[in-house]
Amino acid sequence: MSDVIVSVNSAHFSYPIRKGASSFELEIPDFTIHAGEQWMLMGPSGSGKSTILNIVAGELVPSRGEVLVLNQRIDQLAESERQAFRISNVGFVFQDFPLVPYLDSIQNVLFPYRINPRLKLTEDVYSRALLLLDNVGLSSKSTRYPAELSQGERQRVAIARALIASPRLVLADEPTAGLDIKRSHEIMDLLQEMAVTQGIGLLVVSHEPQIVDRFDNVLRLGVEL
Amino acid sequence: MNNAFFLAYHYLRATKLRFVILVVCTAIALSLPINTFVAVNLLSDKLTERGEQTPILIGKKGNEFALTMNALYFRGTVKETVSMNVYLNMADAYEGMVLPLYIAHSTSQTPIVGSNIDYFEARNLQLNNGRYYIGLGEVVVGAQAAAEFNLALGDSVRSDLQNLYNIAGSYPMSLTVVGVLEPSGTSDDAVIFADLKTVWALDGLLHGHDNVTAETALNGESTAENLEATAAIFMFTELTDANREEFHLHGSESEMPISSVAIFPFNQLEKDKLLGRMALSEDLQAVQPIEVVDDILSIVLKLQQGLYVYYGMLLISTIFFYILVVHLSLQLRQGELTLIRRIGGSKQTIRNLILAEIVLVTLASVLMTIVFSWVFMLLINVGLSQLSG
Repeated sequence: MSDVIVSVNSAHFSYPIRKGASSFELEIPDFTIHAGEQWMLMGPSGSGKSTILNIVAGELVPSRGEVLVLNQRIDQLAESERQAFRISNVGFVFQDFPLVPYLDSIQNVLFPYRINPRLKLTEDVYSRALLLLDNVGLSSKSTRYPAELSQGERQRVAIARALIASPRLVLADEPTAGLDIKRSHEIMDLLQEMAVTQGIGLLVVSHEPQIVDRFDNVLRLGVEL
Repeated sequence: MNNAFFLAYHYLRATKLRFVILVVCTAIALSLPINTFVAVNLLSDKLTERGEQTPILIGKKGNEFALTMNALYFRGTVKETVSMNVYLNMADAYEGMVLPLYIAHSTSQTPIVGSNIDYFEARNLQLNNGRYYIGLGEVVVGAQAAAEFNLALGDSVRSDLQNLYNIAGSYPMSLTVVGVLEPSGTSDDAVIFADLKTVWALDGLLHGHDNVTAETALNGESTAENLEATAAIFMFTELTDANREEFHLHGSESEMPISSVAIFPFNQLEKDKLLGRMALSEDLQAVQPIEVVDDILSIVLKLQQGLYVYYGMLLISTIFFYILVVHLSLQLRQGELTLIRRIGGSKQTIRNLILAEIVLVTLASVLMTIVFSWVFMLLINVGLSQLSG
């Protein structure tokens, strides 16, 4: 049995109650992601996909149950500890605002090293950033700015950025949103190939049915919140 | 913090227009009070220095300010002149240096200062080349005036016409440059110096013309001793060796006009005596220029204090403007800030980023303020040299 990257057991999340609004409750299905495994969280808007992703990322804390990431109960960590844990172990790919507009591709890949004092930017890291850009097919566009790249190219730079700190887990929130089918598959090819070759646990959130067949492990959230 | 500066630098580089507007606005708000402070101090030093160098001025009773501006800075003319007799009496009565001053004419708008040769010693003015004036129609030119009009020894300058419509008045005369002064950094640099007789010649009080003979006189037939000249008589407009002897004063020298008398008393006792004597005079006044300068500066300082209040308000409004710009830009950068938070950046990271941006904008503003102030210093020096001229 390979290493357990994520394990969610009997977790439940209550949205904070605001004045004049009714509360929402989310029962989170149990699931376990092993190293090299690729999981997809699927469901309609409002089904709680992003909430589960944020709980696994340590941005939100479940009201009960346990969430283990790399055998660490992140639901029991303080915010600063969760943040430190996230920096060291989790890579992110987002649908919205994938890149910093005023940095070129190579600097966008290195961005986690610019904002995290715990990560030290060295020559080796720079070389790794170039290698990652090469892996995503953008070695010739390392000095291009986001405005000079296509949407697919921007998402590929974001994937390289997610992998720069050698995470054990990559969380991708709607990584193919806005892309056509061909480009969606290109992006997923990249993500899944890297997850396999680097032994990374991959959790993808999407509501796009065209990519669901690519995953052996699919967590379907059908209940509207 | 290095990474915060790296990101702030790239962000500012990507938003050049916003950055330049911020820097220029801040630099203006910072440089205005600094430049005002510098300008007032320079003006104060310049005025005070000249005022201290001229202990007492004697002139016709009236506007002390006009008398001081005329005698020290060669600005404007005095409303009423005094006679040379005042100067002669003062020179007899006091041991200190006594100088007659007559500033009423100009050449190409440059004042012609009439005095005697002691003026150069009193003001410690040195010749750069040539000599001091010794004859009628000779002038010595200040360094700035010489440079401005490209004047050299032997060149001629023509005095300005005083009144275009007075056909019976005096006419412009051609004057010869015989000396050029070293720069002194004072109002003496931008003027032309001449002997009093030369200035009286510009007044028409000392003049030369063709001989009036019985054949050309109006009353040539009636008398040969007291001939009356016609208006058609040729007046000399240039002093030459040939006609120099023909120039003559109409009246006594002691009755000729001067603007004022500058007195450099020998000691405090002499100064006090002079002031006491002048206090009793009905038509003359003794002015201590430093007191007039102090009066002017007290008005300037009050204005300066008012300006500082205004500048303070400007600075506060600039700070609020800056806060607004930062606030708006943070709203525009919500996506970037969310990204920072989600991939592990802390609130401190964001604070560092904003702080680095503020530091860079402030540094650039300070540099721009230095540039503005430097340019302003150049302009104010030109302005002050013109004031002194």
